[in-house]
Amino acid sequence: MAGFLNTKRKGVQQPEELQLNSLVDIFSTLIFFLLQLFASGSESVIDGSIRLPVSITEAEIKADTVIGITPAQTGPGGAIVEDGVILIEGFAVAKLEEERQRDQLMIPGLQEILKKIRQRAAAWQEAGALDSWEGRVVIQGDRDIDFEIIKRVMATCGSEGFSIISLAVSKQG
Amino acid sequence: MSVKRFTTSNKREMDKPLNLIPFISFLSVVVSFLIATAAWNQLVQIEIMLPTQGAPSNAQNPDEPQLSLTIIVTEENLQIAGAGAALPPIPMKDGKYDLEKLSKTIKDIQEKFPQNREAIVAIESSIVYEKIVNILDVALKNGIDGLSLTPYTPASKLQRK
Repeated sequence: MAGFLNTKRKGVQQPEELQLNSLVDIFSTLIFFLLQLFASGSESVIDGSIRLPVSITEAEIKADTVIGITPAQTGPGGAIVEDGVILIEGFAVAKLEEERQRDQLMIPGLQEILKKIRQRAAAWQEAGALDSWEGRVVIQGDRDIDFEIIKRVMATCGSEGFSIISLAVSKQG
Repeated sequence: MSVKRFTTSNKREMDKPLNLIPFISFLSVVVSFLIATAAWNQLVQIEIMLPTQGAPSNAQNPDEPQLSLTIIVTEENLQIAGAGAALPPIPMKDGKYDLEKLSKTIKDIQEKFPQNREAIVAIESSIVYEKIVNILDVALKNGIDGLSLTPYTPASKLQRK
């Protein structure tokens, strides 16, 4: 209505102004929703190439440390263009194909980082900055990874005192 | 020092509507950023016990017979074993694991041993992670939440090695 009243010259109808208030309201609501989504602490996949398997479980992720296993990237002919890697704290610590050929249960690169994390947690505990450290680790493995690699990652975690191991999966539905 | 008087013309200036366009632009950028970085698929976890921890125990009731439910996953079939006995293997159905039959078998066992909440899943090294999760789901669905994973090599392949 205000637009119709806002006439400069008598008899000439000016175009009505766009009401932006409702648009601002929509945006504000959307921002609140998205911020709430962030605040709910939902974990995300540490590498975009990891496609997690889907599961019926509803147990929330509790993790001190996250280990990612990315799949090998294949070219048009099915040849491996880029080998899959094991990631921890943002670093690639082992290549999957090399690990398969090495034929050893423990993964040295992963073992080294896990040892450092454990030592760091122990130092924090001594300093009184950390109440308890359970040694929880979550494995974010791609759905196409074979058990050979998962077995080695689990064995390495177990050997370094990370005894509570969980498999990260996508919630069904 | 000149003092600006509150005159009718000043009041008209203040009555002008607020320019919301820069604010909307800012909100658009924030919304786009939040949408781009939001985690849309909710991550959950399946807790796994290490084989040494996870070995089914009857420490609470030592008089009860130990079930030691084991689900053996090989490239060819699934098999359920426990307490020194093994059920006939569950063959593949249309090139996939027969999860329905596995579920039914576990359900029958759970009816006989309702106290049991633990199982060992013995897996051949070549089995793909997604298939393992599908089998763990079947166990979880039937009330088994104390799961431990352990490697398994079929006897036929051990001889070849």
